[in-house]
Amino acid sequence: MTKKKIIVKNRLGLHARPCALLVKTASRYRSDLIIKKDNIEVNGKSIMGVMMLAAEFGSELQLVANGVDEDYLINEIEELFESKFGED
Amino acid sequence: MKTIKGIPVSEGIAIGRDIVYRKEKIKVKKKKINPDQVKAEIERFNQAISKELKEIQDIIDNYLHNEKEKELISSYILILKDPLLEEKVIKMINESNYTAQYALKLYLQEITESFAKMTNKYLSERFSEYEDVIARVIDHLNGNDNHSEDEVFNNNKEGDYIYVLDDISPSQVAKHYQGIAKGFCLAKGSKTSHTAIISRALGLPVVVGLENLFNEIQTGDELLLNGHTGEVVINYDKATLKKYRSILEEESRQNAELEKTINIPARTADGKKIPLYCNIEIEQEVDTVIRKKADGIGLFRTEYLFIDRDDLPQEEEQFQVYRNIAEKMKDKPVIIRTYDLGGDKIAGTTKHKQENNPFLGCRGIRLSLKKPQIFKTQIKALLRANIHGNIMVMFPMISSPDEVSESIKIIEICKEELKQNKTEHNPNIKIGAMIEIPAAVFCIAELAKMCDFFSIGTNDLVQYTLAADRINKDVERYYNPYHPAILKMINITVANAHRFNRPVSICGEIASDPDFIPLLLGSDIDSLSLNPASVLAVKKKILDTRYDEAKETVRKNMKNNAFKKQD
Repeated sequence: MTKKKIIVKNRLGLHARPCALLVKTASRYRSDLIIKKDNIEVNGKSIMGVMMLAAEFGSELQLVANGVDEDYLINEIEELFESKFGED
Repeated sequence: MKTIKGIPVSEGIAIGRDIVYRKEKIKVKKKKINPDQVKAEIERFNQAISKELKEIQDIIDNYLHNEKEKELISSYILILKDPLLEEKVIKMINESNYTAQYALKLYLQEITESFAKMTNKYLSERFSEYEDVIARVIDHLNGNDNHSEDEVFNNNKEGDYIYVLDDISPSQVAKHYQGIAKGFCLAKGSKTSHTAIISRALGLPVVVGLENLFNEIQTGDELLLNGHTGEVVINYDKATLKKYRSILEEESRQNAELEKTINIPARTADGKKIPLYCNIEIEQEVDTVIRKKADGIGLFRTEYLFIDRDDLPQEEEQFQVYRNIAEKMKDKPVIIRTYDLGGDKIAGTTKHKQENNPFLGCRGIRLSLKKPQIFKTQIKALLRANIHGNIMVMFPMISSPDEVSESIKIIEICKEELKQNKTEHNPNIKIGAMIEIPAAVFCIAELAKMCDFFSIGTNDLVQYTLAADRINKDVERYYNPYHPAILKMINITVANAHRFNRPVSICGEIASDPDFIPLLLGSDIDSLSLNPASVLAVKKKILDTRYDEAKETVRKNMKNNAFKKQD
């Protein structure tokens, strides 16, 4: 199991487009991905789940990946957040 | 008889009987299945999802051509393939023995509630699209493979109708327009929606943004739909019908007449050449500009790249749009105006700040200077696209030379940054200012030292000079472009700009008003910029006008302080 804390860095937060990008990316891996915010916990491969986090700019999220390719999964997702999903 | 007004997005006139179709709130009865049907019900659910996936793929493959549109629609696929959706619906079928429809409805309710609780409007905005996708799956489960909207079209195959709808998808327009639809009146929609773009390509008149239309129109009403003005006349009387019929006849007669002038350059009867440029709002309009053989783009309003979306257009996206336009126009000038918007319209900027007087507020160049990052992205995209054609940049809402010099500084920074990153661009770009604030009229000489050209935006100039809101019906009579103050300002601008050899164009609505053309020609305007649809009509007027006579008319008008149109 790999865990990672990340911060939402794009100003608009996790709106429809970044959510779609995140889910598409996560779905390419075999490992499961759970995303936690405060006390909500959602499936990182579910667009509705990720949308419902309502993660604004500056929110802190915890990624938890579990499976054969968990490290790669976490790395790529982290890069997405770092690159601000290509926004700003 | 009653007339309502919306936003015209696709030109033309339609006369006909209407069909009103209002999408019902999804109605699904609470129903249970026998426990032995569970497996079959899950199978039915999976099939409905597959069917919808196939339809979405069909729209992506056959109706959309732009990557951005495809990306938008492909997020529907994620909604349909959402593991959460599958898990919750199957659980409800399994444990509570609900029908798949009912399980979907409960799922939709659950997420509606959590979206409603979100405090950040921005993140919850897109929800209605999700609702539509799920509703379409419920349609399949109800045996409505054609979806309830399609049924409206299929049940009314005979005759021509004007459809009155909440909204319609581009694929439905493309599928159904032939033979049965004469036009659309929509409650939602915008000029940049895919539906509007496809309708224009097909030549179907469409008016959108008719918010109140379901209270105003009933099925079977006789409608006149004016895709030029946005007017919809409900249960018209004979006189109005006659008027519209004659507009239609006149249009086709005139079009035939005007087409004859298409290859002649615009010049006055006594030989003064007046280049005709076009005002455009979206990339696709360039095709019309080329078809009408206009001399260039006099005003590309870039704000349409910024509105109706929840993110900002990135440099690459903007670059592609500007490049496409510049390439299509070859060497002809393409004047691109930096975004002229208030902060409330741009994603991610201060939405909470409600301005008391938005027209006197932080919009146009003022917002750009306040948000230099957004401005720089646009400038860089322009400089890069400038390799591919003859691009010029123009600033809106200039009130003093300071805004121009600050903007030029930013342009220089952009050039430097592009150079350092070794990004290909053309730094030689002409700079112009919109003259639309009365103060700018009186500092043309100072502006001329920094600007290469001017364009008078008469819509705002009239509004600001006469202190009359253009869209407030109660002050309509005060919004008078024929007020002598306006003609004087145009003349002051031109005279001073010409002292510095700077050309002046007009890009407001009066540039397409045939009665105003002689006044503009007589004021020594160098060119006109107008909507593509009016090019040939204005050209005809110019061909019929003598420059020397126009000068005399202007002289008389100024002397008499004439407030009205001259006969």
